[in-house]
Amino acid sequence: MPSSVTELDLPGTASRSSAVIESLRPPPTRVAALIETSGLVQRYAGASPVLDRIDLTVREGDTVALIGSNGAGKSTLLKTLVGINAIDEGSVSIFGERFERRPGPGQMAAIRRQIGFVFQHHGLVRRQTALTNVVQGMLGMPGGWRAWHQAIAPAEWRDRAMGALSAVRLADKVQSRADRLSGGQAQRVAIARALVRGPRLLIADEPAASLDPASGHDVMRTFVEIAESTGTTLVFTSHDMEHALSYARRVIALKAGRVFLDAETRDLRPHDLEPVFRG
Amino acid sequence: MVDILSSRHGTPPRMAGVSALRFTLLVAVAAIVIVSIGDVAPSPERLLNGSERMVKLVSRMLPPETNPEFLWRITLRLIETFQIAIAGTMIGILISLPIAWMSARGITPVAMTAFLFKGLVSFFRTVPDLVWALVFVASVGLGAVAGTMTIIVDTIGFCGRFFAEAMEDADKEPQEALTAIGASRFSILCGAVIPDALPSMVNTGIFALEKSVRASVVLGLVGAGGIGQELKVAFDLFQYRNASTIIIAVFVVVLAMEWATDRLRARLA
Repeated sequence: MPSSVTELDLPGTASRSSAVIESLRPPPTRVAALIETSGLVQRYAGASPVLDRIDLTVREGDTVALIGSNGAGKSTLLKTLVGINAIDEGSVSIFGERFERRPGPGQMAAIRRQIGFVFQHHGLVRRQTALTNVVQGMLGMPGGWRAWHQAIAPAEWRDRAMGALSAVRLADKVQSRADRLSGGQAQRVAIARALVRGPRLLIADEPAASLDPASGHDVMRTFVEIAESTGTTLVFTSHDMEHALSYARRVIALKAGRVFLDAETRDLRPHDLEPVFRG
Repeated sequence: MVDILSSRHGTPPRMAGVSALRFTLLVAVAAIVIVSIGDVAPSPERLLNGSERMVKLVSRMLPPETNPEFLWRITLRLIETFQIAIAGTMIGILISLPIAWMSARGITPVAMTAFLFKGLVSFFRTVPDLVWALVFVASVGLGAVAGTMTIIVDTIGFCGRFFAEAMEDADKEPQEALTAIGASRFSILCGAVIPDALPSMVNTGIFALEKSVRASVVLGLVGAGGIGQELKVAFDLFQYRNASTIIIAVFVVVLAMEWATDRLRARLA
Protein backbone atom coordinates (compact mmCIF):
# COMPACT_ATOMS: atom_id res chain seq x y z
CA MET A 1 0.00 0.00 0.00
CA PRO A 2 1.38 3.45 -0.80
CA SER A 3 2.63 5.21 2.24
CA SER A 4 1.91 8.75 1.21
CA VAL A 5 -0.57 10.45 -1.03
CA THR A 6 2.06 11.73 -3.42
CA GLU A 7 2.90 8.16 -4.42
CA LEU A 8 -0.63 7.48 -5.61
CA ASP A 9 -1.39 7.54 -9.32
CA LEU A 10 -4.54 6.91 -11.30
CA PRO A 11 -4.30 4.39 -14.12
CA GLY A 12 -3.44 6.28 -17.30
CA THR A 13 -3.16 9.61 -15.56
CA ALA A 14 0.08 9.14 -13.69
CA SER A 15 1.82 12.43 -14.40
CA ARG A 16 -1.37 14.45 -14.38
CA SER A 17 -2.52 12.91 -11.09
CA SER A 18 0.55 13.89 -9.13
CA ALA A 19 0.25 17.39 -10.57
CA VAL A 20 -3.38 17.47 -9.48
CA ILE A 21 -2.55 16.30 -5.95
CA GLU A 22 0.07 19.03 -5.88
CA SER A 23 -2.64 21.50 -6.92
CA LEU A 24 -4.70 20.52 -3.87
CA ARG A 25 -2.00 22.14 -1.77
CA PRO A 26 -3.37 25.42 -0.41
CA PRO A 27 -1.72 28.66 -1.55
CA PRO A 28 0.88 30.11 0.82
CA THR A 29 -0.66 32.26 3.50
CA ARG A 30 0.32 35.71 4.64
CA VAL A 31 -1.13 35.33 8.16
CA ALA A 32 0.99 33.85 10.92
CA ALA A 33 -1.94 32.61 12.97
CA LEU A 34 -4.67 30.96 10.91
CA ILE A 35 -7.25 31.22 13.69
CA GLU A 36 -7.15 33.53 16.68
CA THR A 37 -9.92 33.99 19.22
CA SER A 38 -10.06 36.59 21.92
CA GLY A 39 -12.38 36.34 24.94
CA LEU A 40 -14.89 34.29 22.98
CA VAL A 41 -18.22 33.86 24.79
CA GLN A 42 -21.32 32.17 23.52
CA ARG A 43 -24.46 31.34 25.41
CA TYR A 44 -27.85 29.96 24.42
CA ALA A 45 -30.88 32.07 25.46
CA GLY A 46 -29.30 33.64 28.51
CA ALA A 47 -28.18 30.31 30.00
CA SER A 48 -24.67 29.79 31.40
CA PRO A 49 -22.07 30.15 28.62
CA VAL A 50 -21.42 27.21 26.31
CA LEU A 51 -18.11 28.89 25.47
CA ASP A 52 -16.59 30.93 28.28
CA ARG A 53 -13.77 33.39 27.46
CA ILE A 54 -11.94 31.21 24.96
CA ASP A 55 -8.50 32.49 23.91
CA LEU A 56 -6.70 30.29 21.46
CA THR A 57 -4.46 30.43 18.43
CA VAL A 58 -4.13 27.87 15.67
CA ARG A 59 -1.05 28.26 13.48
CA GLU A 60 -0.78 27.44 9.78
CA GLY A 61 -0.03 23.72 9.27
CA ASP A 62 -1.04 22.73 12.80
CA THR A 63 -2.90 19.47 13.47
CA VAL A 64 -5.16 20.17 16.42
CA ALA A 65 -7.45 17.81 18.31
CA LEU A 66 -10.28 19.52 20.13
CA ILE A 67 -11.37 17.12 22.85
CA GLY A 68 -13.89 17.11 25.66
CA SER A 69 -16.92 15.23 26.91
CA ASN A 70 -20.45 15.75 25.55
CA GLY A 71 -21.60 19.34 26.01
CA ALA A 72 -18.07 20.66 26.60
CA GLY A 73 -18.51 23.04 23.66
CA LYS A 74 -16.35 21.41 20.96
CA SER A 75 -18.86 21.51 18.10
CA THR A 76 -20.12 24.92 19.19
CA LEU A 77 -16.57 26.26 19.07
CA LEU A 78 -16.05 24.88 15.55
CA LYS A 79 -19.30 26.45 14.34
CA THR A 80 -18.42 29.75 15.98
CA LEU A 81 -14.94 29.84 14.45
CA VAL A 82 -16.37 29.60 10.94
CA GLY A 83 -19.22 32.04 11.53
CA ILE A 84 -22.11 29.56 11.59
CA ASN A 85 -22.94 30.44 15.22
CA ALA A 86 -23.15 34.06 16.38
CA ILE A 87 -20.69 35.25 19.06
CA ASP A 88 -22.04 36.95 22.21
CA GLU A 89 -18.72 38.48 23.33
CA GLY A 90 -15.16 38.58 22.03
CA SER A 91 -13.92 38.18 18.48
CA VAL A 92 -12.56 35.69 15.98
CA SER A 93 -9.90 36.22 13.38
CA ILE A 94 -9.66 33.55 10.70
CA PHE A 95 -7.51 33.82 7.53
CA GLY A 96 -6.99 37.44 8.54
CA GLU A 97 -10.76 38.13 8.49
CA ARG A 98 -11.64 39.53 11.91
CA PHE A 99 -15.27 39.56 13.04
CA GLU A 100 -17.40 40.07 16.11
CA ARG A 101 -20.90 38.61 16.37
CA ARG A 102 -20.94 37.15 12.80
CA PRO A 103 -18.82 37.60 9.67
CA GLY A 104 -20.29 39.85 6.97
CA PRO A 105 -21.52 38.20 3.74
CA GLY A 106 -18.25 38.95 1.91
CA GLN A 107 -16.19 37.66 4.84
CA MET A 108 -18.36 34.55 5.10
CA ALA A 109 -17.79 33.70 1.43
CA ALA A 110 -14.03 34.30 1.79
CA ILE A 111 -13.89 32.10 4.91
CA ARG A 112 -15.96 29.26 3.44
CA ARG A 113 -13.88 29.19 0.26
CA GLN A 114 -10.80 28.32 2.30
CA ILE A 115 -12.34 25.64 4.54
CA GLY A 116 -13.13 22.00 3.94
CA PHE A 117 -15.71 20.44 6.27
CA VAL A 118 -16.09 16.81 7.27
CA PHE A 119 -18.96 15.80 9.55
CA GLN A 120 -19.58 12.83 11.83
CA HIS A 121 -21.95 11.37 9.24
CA HIS A 122 -20.42 11.65 5.80
CA GLY A 123 -23.34 13.62 4.32
CA LEU A 124 -22.84 12.24 0.81
CA VAL A 125 -25.65 12.21 -1.74
CA ARG A 126 -26.48 8.51 -1.59
CA ARG A 127 -27.55 7.96 -5.19
CA GLN A 128 -24.62 9.84 -6.73
CA THR A 129 -21.21 8.38 -7.55
CA ALA A 130 -18.13 9.07 -5.46
CA LEU A 131 -16.84 11.29 -8.29
CA THR A 132 -19.99 13.44 -8.40
CA ASN A 133 -19.97 13.76 -4.62
CA VAL A 134 -16.38 14.98 -4.68
CA VAL A 135 -17.02 17.37 -7.60
CA GLN A 136 -19.85 18.82 -5.49
CA GLY A 137 -17.18 20.13 -3.14
CA MET A 138 -16.82 22.93 -5.73
CA LEU A 139 -20.47 24.03 -5.34
CA GLY A 140 -19.66 27.15 -3.36
CA MET A 141 -17.20 28.40 -6.00
CA PRO A 142 -18.02 30.86 -8.81
CA GLY A 143 -19.87 28.94 -11.54
CA GLY A 144 -20.67 26.35 -8.90
CA TRP A 145 -23.78 25.11 -10.75
CA ARG A 146 -21.42 23.07 -12.94
CA ALA A 147 -20.63 20.99 -9.85
CA TRP A 148 -24.20 19.58 -9.66
CA HIS A 149 -22.93 16.48 -11.46
CA GLN A 150 -19.55 15.30 -12.68
CA ALA A 151 -20.91 15.01 -16.25
CA ILE A 152 -21.27 18.80 -16.59
CA ALA A 153 -18.24 19.78 -14.49
CA PRO A 154 -15.25 21.52 -16.12
CA ALA A 155 -12.34 19.17 -16.91
CA GLU A 156 -10.19 20.90 -14.30
CA TRP A 157 -12.70 20.19 -11.53
CA ARG A 158 -13.05 16.58 -12.59
CA ASP A 159 -9.26 16.23 -12.53
CA ARG A 160 -9.08 17.77 -9.08
CA ALA A 161 -11.82 15.40 -7.88
CA MET A 162 -9.92 12.42 -9.31
CA GLY A 163 -6.79 13.65 -7.56
CA ALA A 164 -8.66 14.02 -4.27
CA LEU A 165 -10.10 10.51 -4.59
CA SER A 166 -6.60 9.17 -5.29
CA ALA A 167 -5.36 10.99 -2.22
CA VAL A 168 -7.87 9.12 -0.05
CA ARG A 169 -7.02 5.82 -1.80
CA LEU A 170 -10.38 5.48 -3.55
CA ALA A 171 -9.42 5.94 -7.19
CA ASP A 172 -10.93 2.49 -7.90
CA LYS A 173 -14.31 3.54 -6.44
CA VAL A 174 -14.81 6.61 -8.62
CA GLN A 175 -17.93 5.21 -10.30
CA SER A 176 -19.37 3.55 -7.16
CA ARG A 177 -22.54 5.03 -5.76
CA ALA A 178 -22.15 6.49 -2.28
CA ASP A 179 -24.75 4.14 -0.80
CA ARG A 180 -22.69 1.14 -1.94
CA LEU A 181 -19.55 2.20 -0.07
CA SER A 182 -18.60 1.06 3.43
CA GLY A 183 -18.81 3.59 6.29
CA GLY A 184 -15.04 4.16 6.22
CA GLN A 185 -14.94 4.52 2.43
CA ALA A 186 -17.85 6.98 2.50
CA GLN A 187 -16.07 9.05 5.13
CA ARG A 188 -12.94 9.07 2.96
CA VAL A 189 -15.04 10.32 0.01
CA ALA A 190 -16.29 13.07 2.35
CA ILE A 191 -12.64 13.95 3.06
CA ALA A 192 -11.96 14.07 -0.69
CA ARG A 193 -14.97 16.39 -1.10
CA ALA A 194 -13.57 18.65 1.60
CA LEU A 195 -10.15 18.53 -0.03
CA VAL A 196 -11.10 19.21 -3.64
CA ARG A 197 -11.04 23.01 -3.35
CA GLY A 198 -7.54 22.95 -1.89
CA PRO A 199 -8.69 24.36 1.46
CA ARG A 200 -6.29 26.09 3.80
CA LEU A 201 -8.12 24.59 6.78
CA LEU A 202 -9.78 21.19 7.17
CA ILE A 203 -12.38 21.05 9.92
CA ALA A 204 -13.71 17.67 11.01
CA ASP A 205 -16.43 17.26 13.61
CA GLU A 206 -16.11 13.78 15.20
CA PRO A 207 -15.09 12.26 11.84
CA ALA A 208 -14.52 8.77 13.27
CA ALA A 209 -17.30 8.63 15.86
CA SER A 210 -19.74 6.63 13.75
CA LEU A 211 -17.14 4.16 12.45
CA ASP A 212 -15.78 0.88 13.77
CA PRO A 213 -12.30 1.18 15.38
CA ALA A 214 -10.35 -0.04 12.34
CA SER A 215 -12.20 2.26 9.93
CA GLY A 216 -11.89 5.10 12.46
CA HIS A 217 -8.10 4.74 12.53
CA ASP A 218 -8.02 4.48 8.74
CA VAL A 219 -10.00 7.71 8.37
CA MET A 220 -7.82 9.54 10.91
CA ARG A 221 -4.64 8.27 9.25
CA THR A 222 -5.94 9.51 5.88
CA PHE A 223 -6.64 12.93 7.39
CA VAL A 224 -3.20 13.29 8.87
CA GLU A 225 -1.38 12.03 5.75
CA ILE A 226 -3.23 14.53 3.61
CA ALA A 227 -2.81 17.41 6.04
CA GLU A 228 0.92 16.75 6.31
CA SER A 229 1.56 16.18 2.62
CA THR A 230 -0.39 19.26 1.51
CA GLY A 231 0.47 21.51 4.44
CA THR A 232 -3.23 21.95 5.24
CA THR A 233 -4.16 22.92 8.78
CA LEU A 234 -6.37 20.29 10.43
CA VAL A 235 -8.70 20.85 13.37
CA PHE A 236 -10.77 17.87 14.46
CA THR A 237 -13.01 17.17 17.43
CA SER A 238 -12.95 13.80 19.14
CA HIS A 239 -14.08 11.88 22.19
CA ASP A 240 -11.25 9.46 21.66
CA MET A 241 -8.06 10.15 23.64
CA GLU A 242 -6.15 7.63 21.54
CA HIS A 243 -7.09 9.45 18.32
CA ALA A 244 -6.12 12.78 19.85
CA LEU A 245 -2.74 11.53 21.03
CA SER A 246 -1.96 9.49 17.90
CA TYR A 247 -3.01 11.85 15.14
CA ALA A 248 -2.77 15.43 16.46
CA ARG A 249 0.35 17.46 17.12
CA ARG A 250 -1.54 19.59 19.59
CA VAL A 251 -4.47 18.92 21.92
CA ILE A 252 -6.90 21.55 23.15
CA ALA A 253 -9.24 20.19 25.80
CA LEU A 254 -12.50 21.94 26.62
CA LYS A 255 -14.33 21.44 29.88
CA ALA A 256 -17.58 23.26 30.74
CA GLY A 257 -16.96 25.74 27.92
CA ARG A 258 -13.42 26.67 28.99
CA VAL A 259 -9.98 25.72 27.72
CA PHE A 260 -8.91 23.15 30.30
CA LEU A 261 -5.67 22.12 28.64
CA ASP A 262 -3.66 23.26 25.62
CA ALA A 263 -0.48 21.31 24.98
CA GLU A 264 1.74 19.66 22.38
CA THR A 265 0.90 15.96 22.05
CA ARG A 266 4.53 14.94 22.58
CA ASP A 267 4.34 16.44 26.07
CA LEU A 268 1.20 14.51 27.02
CA ARG A 269 0.51 11.08 28.48
CA PRO A 270 -2.93 9.42 28.42
CA HIS A 271 -3.46 10.01 32.15
CA ASP A 272 -3.02 13.77 31.55
CA LEU A 273 -6.26 13.72 29.57
CA GLU A 274 -8.31 11.66 32.03
CA PRO A 275 -9.47 14.68 34.10
CA VAL A 276 -10.90 16.19 30.90
CA PHE A 277 -13.53 13.48 30.75
CA ARG A 278 -14.13 13.26 34.52
CA GLY A 279 -17.26 14.98 35.81
CA MET B 1 -46.79 -27.26 41.41
CA VAL B 2 -47.57 -23.56 40.96
CA ASP B 3 -49.78 -22.81 37.97
CA ILE B 4 -47.89 -19.90 36.40
CA LEU B 5 -50.63 -19.40 33.80
CA SER B 6 -53.33 -18.52 36.32
CA SER B 7 -53.85 -14.78 36.36
CA ARG B 8 -53.42 -12.99 39.67
CA HIS B 9 -54.86 -9.80 38.20
CA GLY B 10 -58.29 -9.02 36.79
CA THR B 11 -58.53 -9.58 33.00
CA PRO B 12 -59.22 -6.26 31.22
CA PRO B 13 -62.58 -5.81 29.45
CA ARG B 14 -62.74 -6.89 25.81
CA MET B 15 -63.60 -3.38 24.67
CA ALA B 16 -62.42 -0.11 26.17
CA GLY B 17 -65.18 1.99 27.72
CA VAL B 18 -67.16 4.10 25.19
CA SER B 19 -67.77 7.67 26.30
CA ALA B 20 -71.21 9.28 25.85
CA LEU B 21 -69.82 11.62 23.17
CA ARG B 22 -68.21 8.78 21.22
CA PHE B 23 -71.42 6.71 21.44
CA THR B 24 -73.50 9.66 20.16
CA LEU B 25 -71.10 10.18 17.25
CA LEU B 26 -71.24 6.48 16.36
CA VAL B 27 -75.05 6.56 16.32
CA ALA B 28 -75.04 9.74 14.20
CA VAL B 29 -72.63 8.25 11.63
CA ALA B 30 -74.69 5.05 11.46
CA ALA B 31 -77.87 7.11 10.91
CA ILE B 32 -76.25 9.11 8.07
CA VAL B 33 -75.12 5.89 6.34
CA ILE B 34 -78.57 4.24 6.65
CA VAL B 35 -80.46 7.35 5.43
CA SER B 36 -78.05 7.78 2.48
CA ILE B 37 -78.47 4.16 1.41
CA GLY B 38 -82.26 4.53 1.67
CA ASP B 39 -82.24 7.73 -0.45
CA VAL B 40 -79.81 7.01 -3.27
CA ALA B 41 -78.77 3.33 -3.33
CA PRO B 42 -80.54 1.15 -5.93
CA SER B 43 -83.57 -0.72 -4.61
CA PRO B 44 -83.98 -4.45 -5.53
CA GLU B 45 -86.89 -3.70 -7.92
CA ARG B 46 -84.89 -0.94 -9.59
CA LEU B 47 -81.94 -3.31 -9.96
CA LEU B 48 -84.23 -5.90 -11.52
CA ASN B 49 -85.69 -3.41 -14.03
CA GLY B 50 -82.25 -1.98 -14.70
CA SER B 51 -80.67 -5.36 -15.34
CA GLU B 52 -83.35 -6.13 -17.94
CA ARG B 53 -82.50 -2.88 -19.74
CA MET B 54 -78.80 -3.57 -19.35
CA VAL B 55 -79.17 -6.92 -21.08
CA LYS B 56 -81.06 -5.18 -23.93
CA LEU B 57 -78.35 -2.52 -24.21
CA VAL B 58 -75.56 -5.08 -24.30
CA SER B 59 -77.40 -7.06 -27.00
CA ARG B 60 -77.67 -3.87 -29.09
CA MET B 61 -73.94 -3.27 -28.60
CA LEU B 62 -73.02 -6.61 -30.13
CA PRO B 63 -71.26 -7.28 -32.35
CA PRO B 64 -68.88 -4.28 -32.05
CA GLU B 65 -68.59 -2.14 -35.17
CA THR B 66 -65.61 -3.17 -37.36
CA ASN B 67 -66.12 -0.94 -40.37
CA PRO B 68 -62.54 -0.04 -41.51
CA GLU B 69 -63.38 3.62 -41.99
CA PHE B 70 -64.81 3.81 -38.45
CA LEU B 71 -61.85 1.92 -37.01
CA TRP B 72 -59.45 4.35 -38.68
CA ARG B 73 -61.37 7.32 -37.21
CA ILE B 74 -61.23 5.71 -33.78
CA THR B 75 -57.49 5.09 -34.15
CA LEU B 76 -56.91 8.78 -34.92
CA ARG B 77 -59.01 9.76 -31.90
CA LEU B 78 -57.05 7.35 -29.71
CA ILE B 79 -53.79 8.89 -30.90
CA GLU B 80 -55.19 12.33 -30.06
CA THR B 81 -56.20 11.04 -26.60
CA PHE B 82 -52.65 9.81 -26.06
CA GLN B 83 -51.23 13.10 -27.23
CA ILE B 84 -53.44 14.99 -24.77
CA ALA B 85 -52.26 12.69 -21.95
CA ILE B 86 -48.56 12.81 -22.82
CA ALA B 87 -48.30 16.52 -23.64
CA GLY B 88 -50.44 17.47 -20.63
CA THR B 89 -48.48 15.25 -18.24
CA MET B 90 -45.04 16.36 -19.44
CA ILE B 91 -45.89 20.07 -19.32
CA GLY B 92 -47.60 19.52 -15.96
CA ILE B 93 -44.53 17.77 -14.54
CA LEU B 94 -42.24 20.58 -15.73
CA ILE B 95 -44.45 23.21 -14.10
CA SER B 96 -44.80 21.08 -10.95
CA LEU B 97 -41.04 21.10 -10.30
CA PRO B 98 -40.64 24.81 -9.47
CA ILE B 99 -44.00 24.85 -7.68
CA ALA B 100 -42.96 21.87 -5.53
CA TRP B 101 -39.63 23.57 -4.75
CA MET B 102 -41.40 26.75 -3.71
CA SER B 103 -43.83 24.85 -1.48
CA ALA B 104 -41.52 22.22 0.13
CA ARG B 105 -40.92 22.90 3.83
CA GLY B 106 -37.25 23.41 4.65
CA ILE B 107 -36.30 23.41 0.96
CA THR B 108 -38.12 26.46 -0.40
CA PRO B 109 -35.98 29.57 -0.86
CA VAL B 110 -38.89 31.77 0.33
CA ALA B 111 -40.45 30.16 3.40
CA MET B 112 -43.06 32.91 3.81
CA THR B 113 -44.78 32.17 0.48
CA ALA B 114 -44.65 28.36 0.72
CA PHE B 115 -48.26 28.21 1.94
CA LEU B 116 -49.43 30.13 -1.16
CA PHE B 117 -47.93 27.53 -3.49
CA LYS B 118 -49.26 24.69 -1.31
CA GLY B 119 -52.71 26.31 -1.47
CA LEU B 120 -52.51 26.66 -5.27
CA VAL B 121 -51.61 22.97 -5.63
CA SER B 122 -54.48 21.97 -3.29
CA PHE B 123 -56.91 24.10 -5.32
CA PHE B 124 -55.79 22.46 -8.60
CA ARG B 125 -56.13 19.02 -7.01
CA THR B 126 -59.48 19.40 -5.28
CA VAL B 127 -61.44 20.77 -8.26
CA PRO B 128 -62.42 17.68 -10.35
CA ASP B 129 -60.89 17.38 -13.83
CA LEU B 130 -64.28 17.46 -15.57
CA VAL B 131 -64.92 20.87 -13.98
CA TRP B 132 -61.54 22.11 -15.25
CA ALA B 133 -62.43 20.72 -18.68
CA LEU B 134 -65.69 22.69 -18.68
CA VAL B 135 -63.79 25.83 -17.70
CA PHE B 136 -61.21 25.39 -20.48
CA VAL B 137 -63.79 24.44 -23.12
CA ALA B 138 -65.62 27.65 -22.22
CA SER B 139 -62.41 29.69 -22.40
CA VAL B 140 -60.37 28.20 -25.30
CA GLY B 141 -63.14 26.37 -27.14
CA LEU B 142 -63.96 22.74 -27.95
CA GLY B 143 -61.14 20.33 -28.75
CA ALA B 144 -57.85 18.83 -27.70
CA VAL B 145 -56.27 22.06 -26.43
CA ALA B 146 -58.87 22.32 -23.66
CA GLY B 147 -58.19 18.67 -22.81
CA THR B 148 -54.42 19.24 -22.65
CA MET B 149 -54.89 22.26 -20.40
CA THR B 150 -57.09 20.18 -18.12
CA ILE B 151 -54.46 17.46 -17.87
CA ILE B 152 -51.75 20.08 -17.15
CA VAL B 153 -53.74 21.47 -14.20
CA ASP B 154 -54.62 17.98 -12.98
CA THR B 155 -50.94 16.92 -13.14
CA ILE B 156 -49.77 20.01 -11.26
CA GLY B 157 -52.30 19.22 -8.52
CA PHE B 158 -51.03 15.65 -8.27
CA CYS B 159 -47.28 16.00 -8.91
CA GLY B 160 -46.95 19.36 -7.14
CA ARG B 161 -47.97 17.74 -3.88
CA PHE B 162 -46.01 14.50 -4.17
CA PHE B 163 -42.87 16.15 -5.59
CA ALA B 164 -42.88 18.55 -2.61
CA GLU B 165 -43.26 15.64 -0.18
CA ALA B 166 -40.40 13.75 -1.85
CA MET B 167 -38.21 16.87 -1.59
CA GLU B 168 -39.11 17.31 2.09
CA ASP B 169 -38.20 13.66 2.75
CA ALA B 170 -34.80 13.91 1.00
CA ASP B 171 -31.76 13.15 3.15
CA LYS B 172 -30.88 16.26 5.20
CA GLU B 173 -27.21 15.48 5.86
CA PRO B 174 -25.93 16.15 2.30
CA GLN B 175 -27.94 19.38 2.28
CA GLU B 176 -26.27 20.49 5.52
CA ALA B 177 -22.83 19.48 4.21
CA LEU B 178 -23.32 21.47 1.00
CA THR B 179 -24.74 24.47 2.87
CA ALA B 180 -21.58 24.52 5.01
CA ILE B 181 -19.40 24.92 1.91
CA GLY B 182 -21.49 27.84 0.70
CA ALA B 183 -23.63 26.14 -1.99
CA SER B 184 -26.72 28.11 -3.03
CA ARG B 185 -30.21 26.76 -2.33
CA PHE B 186 -30.73 26.12 -6.03
CA SER B 187 -27.44 24.19 -6.24
CA ILE B 188 -28.45 22.14 -3.20
CA LEU B 189 -31.79 21.41 -4.86
CA CYS B 190 -30.15 20.24 -8.08
CA GLY B 191 -27.10 18.57 -6.54
CA ALA B 192 -28.56 16.86 -3.46
CA VAL B 193 -32.36 17.09 -3.11
CA ILE B 194 -33.50 16.04 -6.59
CA PRO B 195 -31.02 13.14 -6.96
CA ASP B 196 -32.22 11.77 -3.61
CA ALA B 197 -35.91 12.31 -4.36
CA LEU B 198 -35.69 11.15 -7.98
CA PRO B 199 -36.98 7.55 -7.59
CA SER B 200 -40.06 8.80 -5.77
CA MET B 201 -40.56 11.61 -8.28
CA VAL B 202 -40.25 9.27 -11.27
CA ASN B 203 -42.82 6.96 -9.68
CA THR B 204 -45.16 9.88 -9.14
CA GLY B 205 -44.66 10.95 -12.78
CA ILE B 206 -45.53 7.46 -14.02
CA PHE B 207 -48.69 7.39 -11.89
CA ALA B 208 -49.57 10.84 -13.23
CA LEU B 209 -49.23 9.55 -16.81
CA GLU B 210 -51.48 6.55 -16.06
CA LYS B 211 -54.00 8.84 -14.42
CA SER B 212 -53.86 11.25 -17.36
CA VAL B 213 -54.54 8.52 -19.92
CA ARG B 214 -57.66 7.48 -17.98
CA ALA B 215 -58.75 11.09 -17.49
CA SER B 216 -58.20 12.07 -21.14
CA VAL B 217 -60.62 9.33 -22.20
CA VAL B 218 -63.53 10.95 -20.35
CA LEU B 219 -62.64 14.59 -21.07
CA GLY B 220 -64.21 14.27 -24.52
CA LEU B 221 -67.61 13.82 -22.85
CA VAL B 222 -67.60 17.56 -22.16
CA GLY B 223 -66.03 18.49 -25.50
CA ALA B 224 -62.36 18.56 -24.53
CA GLY B 225 -61.16 16.33 -27.40
CA GLY B 226 -60.03 12.73 -27.62
CA ILE B 227 -61.89 9.44 -27.84
CA GLY B 228 -64.48 10.50 -25.24
CA GLN B 229 -66.03 12.82 -27.80
CA GLU B 230 -66.66 9.85 -30.15
CA LEU B 231 -68.15 7.87 -27.26
CA LYS B 232 -70.57 10.68 -26.43
CA VAL B 233 -71.64 10.99 -30.09
CA ALA B 234 -72.15 7.20 -30.29
CA PHE B 235 -74.45 7.20 -27.23
CA ASP B 236 -76.27 10.40 -28.27
CA LEU B 237 -77.06 8.90 -31.72
CA PHE B 238 -77.89 5.44 -30.25
CA GLN B 239 -74.98 3.91 -32.24
CA TYR B 240 -74.36 1.29 -29.56
CA ARG B 241 -72.18 -0.96 -31.76
CA ASN B 242 -69.87 2.00 -32.30
CA ALA B 243 -69.89 2.63 -28.54
CA SER B 244 -68.89 -0.98 -27.73
CA THR B 245 -65.95 -0.77 -30.17
CA ILE B 246 -64.80 2.46 -28.49
CA ILE B 247 -65.14 0.95 -24.99
CA ILE B 248 -63.08 -2.10 -26.03
CA ALA B 249 -60.43 0.15 -27.63
CA VAL B 250 -60.22 2.27 -24.47
CA PHE B 251 -59.95 -0.86 -22.32
CA VAL B 252 -57.09 -2.19 -24.45
CA VAL B 253 -55.25 1.14 -24.41
CA VAL B 254 -55.57 1.64 -20.62
CA LEU B 255 -54.53 -1.97 -20.01
CA ALA B 256 -51.49 -1.59 -22.31
CA MET B 257 -50.57 1.64 -20.56
CA GLU B 258 -50.74 0.01 -17.11
CA TRP B 259 -48.68 -2.94 -18.33
CA ALA B 260 -46.03 -0.61 -19.77
CA THR B 261 -45.85 1.59 -16.66
CA ASP B 262 -45.66 -1.47 -14.37
CA ARG B 263 -42.68 -2.71 -16.39
CA LEU B 264 -41.09 0.72 -16.29
CA ARG B 265 -41.53 0.91 -12.51
CA ALA B 266 -40.02 -2.56 -12.10
CA ARG B 267 -36.99 -1.53 -14.18
CA LEU B 268 -36.49 1.64 -12.14
CA ALA B 269 -36.90 -0.09 -8.75
